[in-house]
Amino acid sequence: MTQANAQTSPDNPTTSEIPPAPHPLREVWNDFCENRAALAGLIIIALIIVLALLAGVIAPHTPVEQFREHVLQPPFWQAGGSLSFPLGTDDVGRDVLSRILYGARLSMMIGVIVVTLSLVIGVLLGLIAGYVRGWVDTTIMRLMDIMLSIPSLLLAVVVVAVLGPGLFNAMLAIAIVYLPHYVRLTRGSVITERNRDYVVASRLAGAGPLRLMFVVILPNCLAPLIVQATLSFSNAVLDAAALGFLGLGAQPPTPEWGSMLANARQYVLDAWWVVTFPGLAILITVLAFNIMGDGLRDALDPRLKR
Amino acid sequence: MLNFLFRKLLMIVPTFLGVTIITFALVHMIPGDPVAIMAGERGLSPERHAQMMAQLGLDRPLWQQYLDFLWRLMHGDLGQSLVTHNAILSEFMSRFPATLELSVCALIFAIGLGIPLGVIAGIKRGSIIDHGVMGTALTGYSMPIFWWGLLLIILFSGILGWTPVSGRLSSSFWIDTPTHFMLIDTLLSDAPGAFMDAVRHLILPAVCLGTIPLAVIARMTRSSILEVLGEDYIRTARAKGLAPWRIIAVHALRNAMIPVTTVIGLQIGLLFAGAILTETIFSWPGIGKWLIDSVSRRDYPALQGGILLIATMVMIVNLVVDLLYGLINPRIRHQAE
Amino acid sequence: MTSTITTSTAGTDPLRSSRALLDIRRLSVSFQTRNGIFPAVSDIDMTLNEGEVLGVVGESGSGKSVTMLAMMGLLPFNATIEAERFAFADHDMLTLPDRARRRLTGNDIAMIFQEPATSLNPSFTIGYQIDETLKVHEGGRRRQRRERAVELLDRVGIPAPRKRLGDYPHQLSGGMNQRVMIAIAIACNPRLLIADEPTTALDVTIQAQILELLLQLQQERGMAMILITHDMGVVAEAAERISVMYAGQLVETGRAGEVFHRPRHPYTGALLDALPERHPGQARLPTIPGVVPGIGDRPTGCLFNPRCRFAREDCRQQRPELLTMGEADDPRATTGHADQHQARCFHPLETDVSADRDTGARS
Ligand SMILES: Nc1ncnc2c1ncn2[C@@H]1O[C@H](COP(=O)(O)OP(=O)(O)OP(=O)(O)O)[C@@H](O)[C@H]1O
Ligand SMILES: [Mg+2]
Repeated sequence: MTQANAQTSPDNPTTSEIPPAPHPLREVWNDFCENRAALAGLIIIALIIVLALLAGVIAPHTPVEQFREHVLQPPFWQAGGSLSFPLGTDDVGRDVLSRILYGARLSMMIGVIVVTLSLVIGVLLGLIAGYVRGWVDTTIMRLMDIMLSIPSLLLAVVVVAVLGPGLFNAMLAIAIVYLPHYVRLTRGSVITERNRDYVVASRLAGAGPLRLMFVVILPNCLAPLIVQATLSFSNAVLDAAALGFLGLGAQPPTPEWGSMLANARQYVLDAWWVVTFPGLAILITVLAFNIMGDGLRDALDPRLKR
Repeated sequence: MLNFLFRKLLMIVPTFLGVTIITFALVHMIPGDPVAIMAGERGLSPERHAQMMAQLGLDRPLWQQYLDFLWRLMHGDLGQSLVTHNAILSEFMSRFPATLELSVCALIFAIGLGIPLGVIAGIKRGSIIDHGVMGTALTGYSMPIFWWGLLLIILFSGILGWTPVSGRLSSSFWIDTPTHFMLIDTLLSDAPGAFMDAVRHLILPAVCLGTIPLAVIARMTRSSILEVLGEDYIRTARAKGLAPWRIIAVHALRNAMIPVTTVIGLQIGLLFAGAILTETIFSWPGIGKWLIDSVSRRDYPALQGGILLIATMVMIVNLVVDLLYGLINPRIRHQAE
Repeated sequence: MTSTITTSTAGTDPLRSSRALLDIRRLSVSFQTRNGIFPAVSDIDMTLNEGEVLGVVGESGSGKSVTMLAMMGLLPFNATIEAERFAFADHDMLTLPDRARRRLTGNDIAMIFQEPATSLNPSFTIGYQIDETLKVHEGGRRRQRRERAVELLDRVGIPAPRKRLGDYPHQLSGGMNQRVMIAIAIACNPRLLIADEPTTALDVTIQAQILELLLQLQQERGMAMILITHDMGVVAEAAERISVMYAGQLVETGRAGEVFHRPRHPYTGALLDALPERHPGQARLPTIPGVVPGIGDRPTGCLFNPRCRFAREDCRQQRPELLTMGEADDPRATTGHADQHQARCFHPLETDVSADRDTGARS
């Protein structure tokens, strides 16, 4: 699911102060911290990352161990629950909490890989399109238009159908689907930046095209890219879970949140906990990233300042 | 205006061609060949296999196959399903009303609730109401709808027992479906209670599918209203001595709706994506479920045709939104003339 | 305030014209901003009789618009208004309930803004926007209102007015839009028209036409008018009285002729000195160095002292009050507060510039 209002202003924020203010990053950080919700988002993300990293230590069980005598046991506060399975067990007796904790690892990994892939490729294509222009630009942008005319989850489904189901292919599909946003963003920034004085000055000083693209122009397009990256991180978690739910992403017994839900569907009316907790984990993660993305956007967008 | 329409249509053509190329290429990139899938488990002798390939034109060069595909497309022939052997267009069309009905109701829910909420949040900027609405909207926006649907089922079907879990109509009703829109068909039929039954079936899926658009529309409406309220013409309206409700309802809303319509237009593409998940959860017999079933049955022509039709529809909807945009924004309208 | 709200039009009551139409004492406006409270306007007095024209001048940021918006009740939510007295046509505006106040705004007091291009709603036809005012304040049949709208457009000099009713603001030029704004403002025959730099955003050639139109309408309908401008020359031609504002304060006020020919405040003097007609043949006009102090940089003492050529030690220490200037030769000096020549200066100018080319105050 793509973010309709994710784009920040095309005219780039950081360039308005060419002689850099003492600590521009510091100012962004201060603005960000003033937004208490955004800070809360950041703290929750940090917490999720810690939990994901420490899953091996914290989790009471491994994510795949099946306790056949404890099938569909409710969480500990309900009658029949026990503290050895704090959030209950699923239909084959696996500990829900442990699976969710290990699932956090997967979700963070999915987010990082998807964002890195689409960011790197998208920025590259965008830089090329914006810098070279001409038919290269037209071809790239047309291709992006075509990709945008197919709803993103649908496109991901098709790509997975071609590549075959599985977590890796799902990540690849999602990364491909997110490309157009990065390409458009980068290209837009490059086109506005490339005629600015400082770029022209560097060119006159003899900077080559690669140096111009990566060292001179790119750093000045970073702000909107960072915001887009945060927001697509949450979308990646969401879409990977959706593909998992449809049976096209991670395959059982991988403790991926979406595929946990797919499996839990049949017990929806009998065992609420198998359904509720994995989804809650997705919601909290996605929400935290979205709140932080909103905060970042506000902090990086000079129009909203003062 | 006609000129405007024409130019927009012209822009669509290359994109449409691109979509045909991509869907065509995707299906041909898929490992395994269609004849083997058609034959199923039984398998085929090599001679019969070659014969079938020739019959389907699959032994010819790719570009010829593509031109063929395009030619047939022009005549409304999207090929046959490998599984049911029905024409894909008719398979699609028989399921489309279900998806359309669901999407329209979801959109009505999203617009009907999202715009007023956004307006109220905007007017009461900074208040508890504002924070509440925006917090809820952000949560809705971050919602994994496949989970949200299940939660709705747990609450309304499981605990409260108000709504059925799946389908469009209880099996106790047997009605004619001339329009394929269940709400209309049940009204036309004289079966007592059928209409309410259809509504009860529809309500959870519509809410589930409408949640993300609702959140997006509410957020967009709020920021748009805030922006518009700072405009000079709002000051002029106040200087005329107009009542606050009139300033909001007439002067602010009309202009604030301009960006909101664009966002609503964008939601329509996303509704199709959301329909895949919603229809899967609620066993709703629409396009989304059909596509997922096609994937699992490896019915690639069906998938190809479905994607093509949906992409075309999204493009047409975007065009209509553009036109609507011109209609409510006189500046664009006159530019185009 | 127990009397019923009058919706009557221009000075029909002869008794009322003897009283001031508008009477404001010690009006202050402050804004709540991120960097604290900013006093944009402090202790402004303003009186205006029926049919009188008051010119308000001052540089950008001196608080002219804020004062007018405060009078109209149009300030944004972060503004706080205080006043000792604020009466319009016998209504105590400080206690008047919102509903009753709305019946006055747009009807008895109307305002024209600086930016015609953005002041009209882009989504509605000008016909609709004129009609709306008529409908809200006067009611009546749709047909009759339509005729009124045509008459109004005709009166403000829009050619083929009937055809223009269906046009949108972006289809008209800036000057035409400002005419439409004027038509809206005069639609209900207001007793007071506030024109906030009505010509600043327009072409020079059109500026004079619009100003001429406003003055014609003012005379014809006997409206009182507050005309805000940067241009001393315009005020001198049009206004009976002048108020000069600087950094949210009134620095000089008096009859136009007196202020114009015998400015007492150095700021007024400097503004007049910047007029081209005072320097015939000279390419470069004298300017006032520096800018109006903003949020953080209000000086101690007289607010004008950092830019004042004549500033002395006491100017830097203490803030001067608005003092009545003795004009022994002028019998009007004692006729009332409104007519007095006042200036906020410890060392008022003594120069008499009436010997200069007469730009003439309208009598
Ligand atoms: N909403 C607001 N919030 C904070 N400060 C404001 C606001 N509106 C106006 N001000 C400040 O009040 C001061 C006076 O502004 P005002 O618009 O009245 O000046 P002006 O005399 O009309 O200038 P101009 O000739 O440019 O129209 C300015 O310093 C301005 O920054
Ligand atoms: Mg102003």
